[in-house]
Amino acid sequence: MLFNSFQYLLFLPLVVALYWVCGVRYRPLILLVASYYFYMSWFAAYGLLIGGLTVVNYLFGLGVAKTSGEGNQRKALFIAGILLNLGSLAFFKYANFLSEFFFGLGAGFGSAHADIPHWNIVLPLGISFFVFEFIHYLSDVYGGNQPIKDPLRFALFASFFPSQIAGPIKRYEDFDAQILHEKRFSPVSFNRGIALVLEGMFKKVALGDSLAVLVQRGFASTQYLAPCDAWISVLAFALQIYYDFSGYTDIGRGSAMLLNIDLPENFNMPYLSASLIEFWRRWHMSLSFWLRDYLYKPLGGSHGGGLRQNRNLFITMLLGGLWHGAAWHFVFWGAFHGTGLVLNHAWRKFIGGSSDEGPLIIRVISTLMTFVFVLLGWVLFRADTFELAMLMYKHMFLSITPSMQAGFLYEAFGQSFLPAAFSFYVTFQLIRYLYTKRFSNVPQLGQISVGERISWRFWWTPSSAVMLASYAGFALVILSLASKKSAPFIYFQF
Amino acid sequence: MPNSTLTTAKPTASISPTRNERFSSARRFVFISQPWARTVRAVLQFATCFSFVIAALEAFLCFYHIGEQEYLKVDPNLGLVHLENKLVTDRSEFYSVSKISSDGLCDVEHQVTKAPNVRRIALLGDSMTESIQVPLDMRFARLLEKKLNANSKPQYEVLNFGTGAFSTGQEYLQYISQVRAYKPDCVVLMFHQGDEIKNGPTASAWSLRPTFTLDDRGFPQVRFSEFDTWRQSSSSLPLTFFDWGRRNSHIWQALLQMHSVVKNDRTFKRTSDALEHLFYKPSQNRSEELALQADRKRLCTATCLSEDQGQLHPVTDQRQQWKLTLAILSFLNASCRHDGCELKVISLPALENRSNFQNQFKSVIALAAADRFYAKDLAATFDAAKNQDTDSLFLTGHLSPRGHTLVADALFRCLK
Repeated sequence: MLFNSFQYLLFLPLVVALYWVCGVRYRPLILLVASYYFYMSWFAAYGLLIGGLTVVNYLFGLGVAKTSGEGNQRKALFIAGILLNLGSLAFFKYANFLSEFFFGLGAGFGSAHADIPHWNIVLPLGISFFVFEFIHYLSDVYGGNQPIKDPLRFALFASFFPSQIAGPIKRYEDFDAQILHEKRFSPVSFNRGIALVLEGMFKKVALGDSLAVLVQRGFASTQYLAPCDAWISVLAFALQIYYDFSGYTDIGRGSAMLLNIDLPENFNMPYLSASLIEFWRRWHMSLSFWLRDYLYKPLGGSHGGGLRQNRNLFITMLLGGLWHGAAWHFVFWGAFHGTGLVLNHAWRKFIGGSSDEGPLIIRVISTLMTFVFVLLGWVLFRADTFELAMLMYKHMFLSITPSMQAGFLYEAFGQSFLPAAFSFYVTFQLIRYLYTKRFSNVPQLGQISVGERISWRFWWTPSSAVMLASYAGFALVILSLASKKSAPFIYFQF
Repeated sequence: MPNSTLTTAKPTASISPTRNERFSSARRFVFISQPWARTVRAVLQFATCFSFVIAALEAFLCFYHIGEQEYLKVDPNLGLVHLENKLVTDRSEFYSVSKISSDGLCDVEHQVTKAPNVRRIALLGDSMTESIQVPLDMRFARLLEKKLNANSKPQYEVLNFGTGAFSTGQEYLQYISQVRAYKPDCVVLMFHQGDEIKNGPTASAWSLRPTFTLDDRGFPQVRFSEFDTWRQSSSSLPLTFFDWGRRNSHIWQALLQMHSVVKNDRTFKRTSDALEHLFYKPSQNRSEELALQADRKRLCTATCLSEDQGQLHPVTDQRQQWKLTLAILSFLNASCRHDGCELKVISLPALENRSNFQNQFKSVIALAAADRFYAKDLAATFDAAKNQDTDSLFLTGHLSPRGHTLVADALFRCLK
């Protein structure tokens, strides 16, 4: 079931209604059944995989917690649990990639290329995400935290449908505390939830999907692109991946908020980052923090001098790249960002501070440079192969193609609803900014005139009826500006 | 420092209100706190706010020309024809914003009365001639008129009667019921692949138009029965329900675009069908039906066609389809000659299965020689241009601006 499908429009209200109507003790069970239904609607057998991994990790978690203090046995259990999770990920996601790699190495020593085995393995949706959540769980329990003893709650942590397919990667302490806590219906949370779901839908179907048409056309005909077309294609992809993924996250977080459950944030205006270090604190935050806590730090983090820190950073980003997909262009994308981060740290050391603390002009220049760097990285990420990525670079910088492809800009600005969608989105963000700014300054009602009081009550504390009308209007905007060609969420492939 | 105006002025008003003020505010409070009053207030609030949202969204969509794609209506005699005075924005293959004329032509406004010393050329055809995909000035009808009137005062008027998905038979009905009133001196029928198939019922959209059959003598007959069945079913609802919205509301038109998406979704298909049935109210107006029958009788008399009430076998095989097309062309030519105008049949190149279409079109050329009208296949012209031009002559399925220029040039040569 896709978040942007009509089925989900039926599924979500039904689950939310059941959740609030039923008694508190049944709520985790309702969510668990709904989550498994959600997951198994793709492919029923997937349920067995996530169910099996849940049982094993639950037992490993209890085992690790029980053997606290008994050094080697505990460590062995922990390592076995981690290997099991990584093994399942390696099997489903990297089996063909690894076999091609190792047999390819063998081919260098005389083995025939045709002998490379290829398995038809269907990648279970979201495996990269829930395996990372299991690893985090085992690591934290190994670190001394309490495990989840209730199997129902543990199963729900692993399969919670708003974050099941593409994150955000949750932390079990935060999530379980919310499930344990007796939830009361919160109109504020409910309102925020609806707004987030609608905003996410808009980002996905009006912006992301419209941009996808342009991106598809650009990357499918790289060899014909003039420099301007190539840059437009890459820029379009940068925006597409942001709106697609942050749209997904918003729908997921919004769906959870309707149940009065908070999921971690994943994006914080990443393209406004003034450095690559800042970018990775604002882009796919739940993954960045996971990589920091469970890869970078165990590798040694920033201890042991600059060289070791750089090595750790580079390895973390390289593996982060590989996590995105079993292909060389993802590995190179990771290496590209790893190198960028190493250089960024070196630059900070050289100037003795960070560029984002300087005057405005320096920050603007740094932001632009960071954006261009990230943009160049997206070429490696989006191109189907490493060779096609190189071809795109060639057309961006060295192409002498005389004219633009006929209709390319037409497709960008005429045929799609992009100009309307962007202008609506900018206006929406501006209104929200003003609203939030005003709302954070609640006036003392006794100190303002009657007119101001009426205006305050009408505009800044709207009633449910006014909110409902606004949501209906937003839904109409989404339906009006939705792209007619729906594209799957980019991060589903990971 | 406190604001003196606020602190001094306010307490007087709020601390010592008059007796009447206190009484009325208390009554008002009691009134508002009634449950039904709260509901009424909420409904009013919702209605006010939603009206504002709708108005703002209409203005927004109008500014960006979104939700302006609807331009067809159901005509019980001709099939699907243009909505008059409708602003249309097409984004399907290119980007064009144009207005349908008050007479329902995809063209500039034309007076029915012909000006003296002006020669009129009427273009008949399907979506290739209609050319809604490209801006008005780029369409070959406009380009042709410009070329014909270059270097002299306006003496030619080109009228574009092209209508999407029209068959040759519909074009004949259109000539009789609409075109001949403009008294054209020349009728150019832009023949395009598929026109011959659409004359008889086809599997996909066979019920969206009147179809034609052949009687024992080989004469064409018009058949409305399938079209009427579709017209009176809930399937025609997207084209008939809330006509005002289809003409004037951008939001409604944008939602109609989503209708096909919903129809294709397996979960919602049934719901959508059920809703269509719910909203569908079959017309029971007897006087309207009688008027329509009389109208059709007049049309049949004018076209010299008999009405097949469903007794004849529908034309489905290719040989019969071409035979039927030739018979209709023959009737059209006879009507044109009777009206004192000349018929020219120009074939636009087929996008697929070209050689077969070109071979079949030879039979039209043979008929033209026998019936003394002009026929030409533009395939060779397009092939020659294709080898020279780098720009594509077609968009996804229709002519590109370059293709329109080429057709205008070819028509100019034919007409001169």
